[in-house]
Amino acid sequence: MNDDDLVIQTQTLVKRYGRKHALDGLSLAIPRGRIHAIVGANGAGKSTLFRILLGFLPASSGQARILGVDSQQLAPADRSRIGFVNEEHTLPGWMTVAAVTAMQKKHYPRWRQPAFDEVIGHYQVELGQKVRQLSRGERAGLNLALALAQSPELLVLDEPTLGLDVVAKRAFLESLLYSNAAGDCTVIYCSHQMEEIERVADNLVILERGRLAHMSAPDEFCERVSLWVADIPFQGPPPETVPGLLQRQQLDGLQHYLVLDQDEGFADFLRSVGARSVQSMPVSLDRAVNGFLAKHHAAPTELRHA
Amino acid sequence: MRELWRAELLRFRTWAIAAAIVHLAVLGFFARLVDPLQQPDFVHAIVAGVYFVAGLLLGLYQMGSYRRPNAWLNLLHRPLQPGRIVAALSLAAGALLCLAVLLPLALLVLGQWAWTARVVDLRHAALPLAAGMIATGGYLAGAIAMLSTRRVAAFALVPPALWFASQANGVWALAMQALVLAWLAAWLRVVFKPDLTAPPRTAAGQVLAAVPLAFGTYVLLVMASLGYQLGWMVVGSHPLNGTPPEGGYVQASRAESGELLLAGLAGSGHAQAPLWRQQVPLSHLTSMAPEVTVYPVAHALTNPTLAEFDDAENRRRYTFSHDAGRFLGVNPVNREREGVLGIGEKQLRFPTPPLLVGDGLMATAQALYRYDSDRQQVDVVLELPPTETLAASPAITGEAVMVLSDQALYLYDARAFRAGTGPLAPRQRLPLPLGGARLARIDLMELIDGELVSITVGRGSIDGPGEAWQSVWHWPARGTPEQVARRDLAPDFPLLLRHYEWWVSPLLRHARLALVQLFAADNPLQAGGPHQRPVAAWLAAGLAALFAAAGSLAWGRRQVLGRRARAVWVLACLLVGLPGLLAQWLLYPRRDHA
Amino acid sequence: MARTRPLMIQIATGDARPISKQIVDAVRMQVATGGLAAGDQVPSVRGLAQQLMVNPNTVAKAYSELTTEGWLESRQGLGLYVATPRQRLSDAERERRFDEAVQRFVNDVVALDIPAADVQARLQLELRALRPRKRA
Repeated sequence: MNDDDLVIQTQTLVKRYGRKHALDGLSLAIPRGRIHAIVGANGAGKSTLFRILLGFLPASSGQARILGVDSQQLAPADRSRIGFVNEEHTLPGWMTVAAVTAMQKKHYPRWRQPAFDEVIGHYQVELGQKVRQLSRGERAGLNLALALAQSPELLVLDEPTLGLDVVAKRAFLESLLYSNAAGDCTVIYCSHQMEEIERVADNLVILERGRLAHMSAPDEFCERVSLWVADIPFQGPPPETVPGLLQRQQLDGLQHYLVLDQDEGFADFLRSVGARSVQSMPVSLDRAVNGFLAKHHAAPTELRHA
Repeated sequence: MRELWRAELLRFRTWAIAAAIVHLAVLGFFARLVDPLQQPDFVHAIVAGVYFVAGLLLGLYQMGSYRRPNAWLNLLHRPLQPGRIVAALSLAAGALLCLAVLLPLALLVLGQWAWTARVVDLRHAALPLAAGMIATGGYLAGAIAMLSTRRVAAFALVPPALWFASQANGVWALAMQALVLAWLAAWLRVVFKPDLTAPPRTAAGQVLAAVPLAFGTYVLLVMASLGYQLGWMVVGSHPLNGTPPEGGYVQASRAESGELLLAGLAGSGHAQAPLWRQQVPLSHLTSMAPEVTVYPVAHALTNPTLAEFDDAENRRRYTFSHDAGRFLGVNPVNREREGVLGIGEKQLRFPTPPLLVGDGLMATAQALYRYDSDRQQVDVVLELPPTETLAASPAITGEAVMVLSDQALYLYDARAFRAGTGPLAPRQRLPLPLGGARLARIDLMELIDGELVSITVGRGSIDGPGEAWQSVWHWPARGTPEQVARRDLAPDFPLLLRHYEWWVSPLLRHARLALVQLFAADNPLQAGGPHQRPVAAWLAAGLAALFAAAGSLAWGRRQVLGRRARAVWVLACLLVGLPGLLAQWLLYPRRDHA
Repeated sequence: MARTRPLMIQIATGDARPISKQIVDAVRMQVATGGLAAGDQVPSVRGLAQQLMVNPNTVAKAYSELTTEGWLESRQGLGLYVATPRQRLSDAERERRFDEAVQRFVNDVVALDIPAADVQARLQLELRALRPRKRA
């Protein structure tokens, strides 16, 4: 893929804190356009990744480029093309909404007032209010409006709806998905909430333990995972011998296997280890991702799937 | 950038206004009790400390609020150069400190000048500016400390510490403040970057941080010798605790005049020595030591000691004015100006601001004056040659008055001295063998035909460099003085400890002295002069430098340092010694922790 | 003149079927039961996405699949419309899908232990209920 088309590119990015690895050889290439969702357990390295990409943390080794520019060499002009929103929605509490907006307008050369008005229109925010008087949801909306009105080429959202009530969350997603403001920018969306991810993502990126575990469209990923329920006498086969195993549960005497990349041949395998009945079904994205991330907890000696 | 500046001003506006009001109120309160502008140095130092801490707290708080990773990202991830962002924040803080610190002080000075009879010189107009700069320095130090890595943070206080040590006066003191502020501002600029965990990027930036680190660690190393002394005390053999060793300088400096004379004469082969030894317990002995360390400098911002005195009989309070070069009197009852005191009938200007030494006496470097309250006039008592400096207040010994300059001891007729008629001529003059800065004490015994004088040299040699010795002179009333005995005084502290301040880093020691003396006027009373360093000290210095260079070589590999930088640091450690190694350790993070 | 008919469908997150598949199935169901007639204009990609609160690209993907299969047709400059019913699938494909559906049904129902006669009767009832609307 042409490097110019990559908004985020890392090559074997490593970040160490003493013996702990926040990022362990992460090689990521995110193309321009669309909405990319990044999921991963806490400690998978998402915050560290963004801090490195934006130049706020040095990498221990490896390369990181954002919008084609090396992360440690970002100039103010580059920063004007990248928007960043996180769950804190940090805004100066002592200023009024109008003053904050005016400051942003002055700083960003490609400010689009109609975009701002459109997004802020979803919320009950008055220009004369002080930012500290806004509710969390209103602050989130203001933050998003400010970010989108900048006309960024890349917009990174790190758990932006965390702690928002249902109404605010919906308003936020609506602004993000349907306003003209977000039309032509690449969006990176980090979240724990699979419900949101399912609605929002064009591309699913799974980070695990500081590495890239998977990247594809969500339904493609989902198709790879299936749930098999079998009635096997005694304990069933030892976990290491089960091909593509992600998670194993024993419920009411039946063995439940969540597996990756297995087809009808898995049924034969189960019967070969003594299953009396075998059934399979597809799973939801939520379950698939959880299973994928949990596989190391199930059996640490499993094969690794990249 | 202006929006950011305005936003930051808005943020602290209420606090600044409140602080300004409180400040003004406190100043007004104290102005009713005393004359704030005429307070001695140490009072001003304390007040300056308060302003410094106020600025420091502002810096810590402001940058502390932005330092959290999320807030920092929000502040710096915008299309604005970090230099402009930090400029906006600091200029806002500067404006706030102007409002809270400078303005009330300016109002005070103005108010005193316009509405009271108190003495307000042009130099006082610089005090609000100085206070503003001190507060700003505190702010910059606090900001730097908050944004630096934990190891480096405390050393942000090193540049401002120079202010308290500097000997510069008046306008030059302001220049010194400006220099330090420039350094701090540049340091803040190089620290203010997206990645707060890394040291400054450019070589110049690293120098800005490394120099205060090196000086700071140097001072800490020097202070560590106190730990050594503490251990010594615990063991019980510390020379300053309990009985000092025989024949040593400490013993000499503490001895009674008689004991000292006897000890001095003990090794004398002079014919009259036994006679003198017999006379010692029977004679009148006077001891004298240099007292003055520094004279007031014209147009200094503050006074080293009180510069006002009361004339109780005529009910006047006289305060010295640098602009007028004379004392200006104020009637304490109706608080109005009354009377001017210059020198003599013609009320001439004092050449430099005088030091009040008590008993109506006042001294400048070359002359002693006395105020006569009957005639309400200041008369010249005696004058020294222009190359000499008065080192102590006169001591009366029987029929003579001893006057000590930095180069000679004079005897004046006591009666003439008390009568105070015109500039007196000395009866006798004894040149002193060494400049006044090293003179420890003088002990004088009156003889029939003159005096016997013991001169002990070695001030500062207890825990510092320099030789100490005692010489005894026969000083006839007429004729040349003759040295009759001399003995060396043994140092009480071990040699390496005495020269420690030098060998731990010769370069930094000289640099520190140079900085402290930068822009300062020469002071013959404090000139230490270059010292002879014994071979052992040279060896120690060399070994320490080699050790530091080796340490730099070994440690540099484990740090995040490029090859060329590593080489530069090895060289620097060789030149600067241990403080350089410590600075390198503090500044750069380890490779695996990066 | 065709007017935009509202699309009364729902999607659910946490379902085993991806959202685009749910939309495809729902549209097919609507056409099959007569909720959408041939010639009706379906909502725009943006409009349906906003209604369902999903990524417009997902709706675009569903519409594109429906168009490929022949359920919808694009009229230049005007939008997407329900296509006239004709053979959308090849015989082999129809046979295969029928087979699949029957297998699924049989598998699900067999466990319930309901007499085959009842099953058949129920089936006939359901199909008869669908048929009249289909003709409309």
